[in-house]
This record gives sequence, C-alpha cells and structure tokens, in this order.
Amino acid sequence: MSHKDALLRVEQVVMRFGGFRALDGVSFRVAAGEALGLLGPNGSGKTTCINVISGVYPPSAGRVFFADRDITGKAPNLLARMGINRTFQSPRPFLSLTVRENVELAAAYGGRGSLPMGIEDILDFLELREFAEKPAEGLNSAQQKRLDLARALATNPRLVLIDEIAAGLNPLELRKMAQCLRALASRGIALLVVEHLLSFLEEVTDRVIVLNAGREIFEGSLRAARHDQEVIRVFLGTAAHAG
Amino acid sequence: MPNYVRDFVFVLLPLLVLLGVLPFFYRNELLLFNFTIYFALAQGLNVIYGFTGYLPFGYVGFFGVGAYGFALAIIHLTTSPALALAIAGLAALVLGVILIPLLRLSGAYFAIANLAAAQAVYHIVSNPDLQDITKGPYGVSLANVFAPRLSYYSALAITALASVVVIWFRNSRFGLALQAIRDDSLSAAMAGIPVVRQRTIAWLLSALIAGLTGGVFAWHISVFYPETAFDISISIFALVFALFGGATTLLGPVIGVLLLYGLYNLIGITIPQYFQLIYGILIVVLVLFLPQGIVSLVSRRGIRVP
Amino acid sequence: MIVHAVMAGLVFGCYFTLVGIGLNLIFGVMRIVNLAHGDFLMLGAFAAFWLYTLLHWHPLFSALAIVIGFGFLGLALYYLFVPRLQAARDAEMLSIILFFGVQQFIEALASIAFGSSERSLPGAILGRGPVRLFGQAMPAAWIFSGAISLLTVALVYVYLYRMRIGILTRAVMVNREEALAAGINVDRISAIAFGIGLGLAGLSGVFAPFMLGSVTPAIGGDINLSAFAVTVLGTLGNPLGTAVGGVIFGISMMLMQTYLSSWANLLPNLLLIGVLLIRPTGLFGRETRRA
Repeated sequence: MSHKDALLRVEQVVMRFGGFRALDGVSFRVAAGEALGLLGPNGSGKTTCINVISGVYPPSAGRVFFADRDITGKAPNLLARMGINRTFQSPRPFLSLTVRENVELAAAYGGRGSLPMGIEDILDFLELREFAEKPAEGLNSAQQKRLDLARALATNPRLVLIDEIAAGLNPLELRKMAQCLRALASRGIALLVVEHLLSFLEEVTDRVIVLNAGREIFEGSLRAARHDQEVIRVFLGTAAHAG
Repeated sequence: MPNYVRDFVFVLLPLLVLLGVLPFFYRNELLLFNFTIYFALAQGLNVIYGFTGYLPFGYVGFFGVGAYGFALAIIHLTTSPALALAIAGLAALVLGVILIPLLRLSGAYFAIANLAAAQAVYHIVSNPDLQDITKGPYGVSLANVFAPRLSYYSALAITALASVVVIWFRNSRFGLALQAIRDDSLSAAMAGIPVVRQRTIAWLLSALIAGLTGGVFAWHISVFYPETAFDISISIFALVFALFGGATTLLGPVIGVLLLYGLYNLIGITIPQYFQLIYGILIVVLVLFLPQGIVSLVSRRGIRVP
Repeated sequence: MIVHAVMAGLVFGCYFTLVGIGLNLIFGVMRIVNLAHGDFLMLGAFAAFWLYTLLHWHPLFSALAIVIGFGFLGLALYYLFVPRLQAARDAEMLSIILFFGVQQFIEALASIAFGSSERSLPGAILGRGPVRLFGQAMPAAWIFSGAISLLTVALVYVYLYRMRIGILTRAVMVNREEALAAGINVDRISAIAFGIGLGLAGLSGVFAPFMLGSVTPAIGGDINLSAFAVTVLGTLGNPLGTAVGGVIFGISMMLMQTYLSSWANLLPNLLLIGVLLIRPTGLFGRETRRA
C-alpha cells in the first residue's frame, strides 16, 4: 500500500502502563474502505491498540495519522468529528436515554455533514427500530452491541474500530452481524476489527495482522495466518477460540 | 405545545405566581423566603447532580461564598445591593473555576473532595486572623441595606432563573448530551460531545445559582455568621429535597421542597432531633426503595413528568 | 519542639490509622462509602464513656465488648442494606447518600439519648503521669491509645495477609467479578469485612475521649473528614496504605498545631483536596474519568 492510500497509519506506537508494555512498537495501515482484522491472544494489546487510536489515552511513544493528519493524543470527541468511531467490547450505550436519543445525539454532535444514511435508515439497518423509543437500559446485550454500532454510524464515520463484537452472539446474530459489517465495508467505511472468533472474522475480511505481547508477529491473509508457525504457537493456548 | 412551554406554563408559572402573591396574604415572610431559597438551591443542585451525576456535597460552599461576596461588597465597597448581588454570583463563579479540577474525580472522590473544599473555604472565612477582611467568626451585619420585600422578590427571580436552566436542560439537546455524559463519559466523547466543556458549563451554572442565592440570603437576613452561611445542612437539605422529589426533572425538586421543607417547618424547628431522625430514616428508605424519587412512581409507567 | 511534634505526630498517626482503616476496608471490599463511619466512632466513644461511668469498666475491657458488639451490628447492617444497594446501577454514589441517612439517624438518636453536652474521660484511667518516649514526655493515655492502635493495625495485617479468609478478602478487593467466578463466597466475605469495619470504628471510638478530647453526638462529621483524609492519603481501598496516610496526617497535624495553630483545622481538608488533585490515580490506583 502506498503512503497516499492509507486512511489510518499507526507508526511505532508504544503504550506503557507502569512498567508493563501493552504495545511495544506497533505499526500498520488501513486503506480507505478496507477491512483489517486484528488478532491476538488475550492481553496481546488489541484493545489497547483501539483505545490509542480512538483517543482514550495518548500513546507513550509513536504516532497515529488519519487522512494524513497527525491525530496522536487527540480527544475522542475531536476524532469522532474527523470520522473515527468505535464500538466497545462490553457495550456502553447511554442507558437512561432512549435508543433514538442515543443515535440522534451522536448524529448531532459527531456528525460530519449530511448523513448518507438517515437516523431511520440506521435504526432499520441494525434492526433497532422497534425499540427506538425504549430506554437503552432495557435492551439485551446483543441489541446494545448493535446500538453501539448504530451510534458510531450516526457520526458518518470513515473508519470504525470494532472491539470483539461477536462475543456472546448466537449463530443467527453472528451471521447478521457479519453481513452488517460487510455491508459497511462495501459502502466505503474502513473497519479495524478486533476479534477472537476466526470463523466470524473470515466472513468479514481476509487481511489480518496478529499481535502477541504488544508486538506484531504476522501480517497477511487470514488463510496464511492459520498456517503460520508462530501464530499457531501463540494461539495454542487459546485454540478453543480459533473456531 | 412544545414541552418546554408546557413545563413553564404548568409548573414554573404557577409556582412563581403563588410565591409572588403569598406575601400579601401571609405574614410569615421569612418562612416564604426560606422556601424560595430552597426552591432555587434544589434546582441549582439538580442542574449539576441531576444532569451530570456529580454529587456536590459541598454545594453550600458556593452559597456561603455568595453570601460573603455580597456582605463584603456592601461593607468594604459600599456598593448597591444589585451590584453586590452580581459580585456574589461572580464570587461563586470564581470558586467554581478554582474547583474545576475536581471534575476529574469520579463518584465518591468528587463528593468528598467537594465537601472538603467547602469546609476549607469555611475555615478560611471564619479564621480570626482574617478578621479585618471577613470579620472572622464574629459574623457580619448589613442593617443599612435591609430591604425585605425587594430581597424576597430578588430571591424569586433567582428561583425563576434556576428553574429556567432546568427547563432548558430538560428539553434541549444540550441537556440530553449532559445526561449522556453522566451515563458514560467515554461513549459521550466518542459520540462527538465535547465532554469537558459541557460539564464545565453545567458546573458553573450550578455554582452561579448557589452564589446568587447566597447573596440574596445575606441581603434578606442581614445579620449572619460563617457557620450560618456555610452550614453543611444547607447542601444536604437541597440534595435531599431534589432527590426525594426526583432529580433530572423540573417538578421533582419542587415537590421535594414543598413536602420535606414543609415537614421541617411543622416539626423540625421545635424538636430538631426528631426531625433529623425522621429525615435519616426517610433518606435510607428513599435510596433503598425509590432511588429515582417520588416522580418515578409516575414516570416509570412511561408518563412524561415535567 | 519539632522533635516533640514529630513524636506526638507518630503516636497520633497510629491512632488515625485506626480511625481510617475500617472505612478503608469497607470501601476496598465492596466499594461502599460508609459516610456514617465517624458516627459509629462517636457511638463507640459514648459506649466506653457509659461503661466506665456506670460500671467502672476499664476502657480496654469495654474495647473488647465494643468490638464484638459493633461487629455483630455491622453484620446486621450489611444484610439489611448492602446487597440491595449493590443491585443498583450506581451503588457507590447511592451508598454515600444512604449512609448519610444512617449518619443523620445515629446523630439524632444520640442527641436525643445523651443530650448535646460534652463528655470526657480522665486520661489517668489509662496510666498516670507523663511517659518519656525517646526523651519526649507525653501523656500516658496517648501512648496507651497509640500502642493499642498499633497492635490492632498489626492484627488487621495478620488477618489480611496470613489468614485464609483475609487472603480471600484481598482477592475480592482486587477483582470482585473474578472472585465470584472463582467460587469465593463474596457475600460472606463482604459481610465479615463490614462487621470488622464497624468493629474498628467502635474501637477507635473507645480511645477518642483520650485522643480527641471531649465527645458530643455531633463529632461524627469532622471525624469523617479526618478519616477520609487519612485513607485517601494512603490509597483508598488499600487498608495498609492507611498506615502511611495516618502517620503523614498525624505528623502534619501536630506540626500545624505547634506552629500555625489557628489554621490547623484547614489541614484535613487541604490534604484531601491536594492529594486528590495531584495524584488522583496514582495514590489510590483507581481510574478516574478519562473523558
């Protein structure tokens, strides 16, 4: 990928918590409209990576560029307005607001220009319309995950970071969610998908990078990753998840 | 009719009219004044607690600083009461700005730090070493500007201001965003909401309301001591009134003040310990069985409460 | 003079550790803020006062009875309030308000029962004449109270680090969910911690008449602020950090009283705010709001 094509460039990012290096010099790129999978065993730094990109905390070292602008350490609300958004591993909707209010707020504050998808479209797309006037508190976990995604979409993002969205979904919900993510990619929204469940990930994308202990150990196709000796070795402990 | 008009017409307007005409029929003006003060304080506290979730145990700090701002402006600068009121509001805003860093704290830490801050201000104001400036523990007397009627209606105006802020928060995108921040500040930031700016605005508005109320309190009672103006039970009363009725609504704090402050005036003044006893039990029962306040009896059925 | 202030500060530091440690244990285990902590301390002080005045019990003897009595009271209060509280979405916040109600209740009950006059016990009960410690003369009652405090804190240490149930308690402190998942009876551990927390509050009350002067039903609020200052200084949720906080608090209080006495009552407040603002995460290792 040439320099110009990259929507997101992560360069030599280091994240230290006390003495612990959660990320130890990670670099990768995501092109506009591309879906990239981010794999790795528990504690390998995947979520930390998403947190750094989405501005939850600034990295200890390294830089992050978005559309050729340096966004290292920028606050999440500024990033949202630039077109970066995310979902959370355990969903975090505004529990006391209705589903519609959740989505409307994101559109009002984070929206860039006119939405290609209206709020009603987003509610339909994520099958949330029937709950639109209910407080988010009353939704089940799968519905809350969809609401997280709906809120992200309402900001008209160019890049969405997806953190373990498959966990806890039943097979039907999994299939629908994969369809959903593919549809987003086909609309030109870039995705960075952190995922444990390989069978889910391969329905969304083929290009992955694999992290272990805060370092990148593999970059390439998911098919190749499955035969890579080092990837197999670090995943051996979590083979049950390898689907 | 839009909701904000409805809230104004059916809740705030009747309250203002009632408090406006009562002094012509009812002699105990101090009692009416105290009710008005608590309407303002309960709504002011609602602005910060109800909409952002910060529990300001030291809310009385703003009230006390306002009272002293008013008094010292009269004493040292011999200003008019109107200008002194503005200074009272400004003093509370300054304290609010100084305390902005506290907003970084969450949950219990904020509540405790805020309480400590109010206590610290009290200890400074009441310190005998500062007698030349604050009159120390000996209190202030403002008999030369005493104007009970005018100060009563000023208090009413401040109540109106506080209620209008609540109506605005309740019926606007701004207020919705504050509630989103309260529910989850990281999610709110991710939705593009400028979290720090929004809650700072709510914090300062809340401080301003308490400061103005403190100023008008100083004006009305005209003789007071540091322990009157910084009495921690002022924070607590306002908090419990708002909670009891139901925070995040306009009607809740009004109901809370009417019922609980009414109860206080029936039994609290003659036998304060027994009132405190009932009060304590009431708070415990409230938290365990009705944490969203009395209005939640209606709102949980899906009916919109003003 | 400065040596004396520091030595007295150390002795008071031991005592303030005892004052704070129960509060901290309860917060650490169940994220519940016992805002009535100072009022349980006050009740302990009155219990010791009456046990001495009416039955001539030595404070050490009443201390034992009070620890046991308050411990059981704590168990009862735990089952009455805490599980219900923890079911709520914002338990930490609601706990502050709930225990504020408990505080009001206790204070009202105490002032109905005891009136508002000041009660004190003669220091001579705990030993006559000044005691010299490293060349510094101090009232025997201080030394006695400080020593009992030190002993109690040591026992809490043994409980948390040497006994099985204490080790389980620390596991709950570190991660409640993990502890539940690992099959630890979190409810029972919490109930016991609550009982111990209240027992420690009562115990520190026994020595309040000697260390803090006379007691009235209204002292709870001020003691709460000191207890919070101590625990926040030494990491909220980390009971042994409290010892560090207690000593820092004791010494700075004595120094303030020696050199700047009219400003001494500002100290707990400023220490609290200062620590919270300067090291909101570091000192007590808990995340604050990020956005």
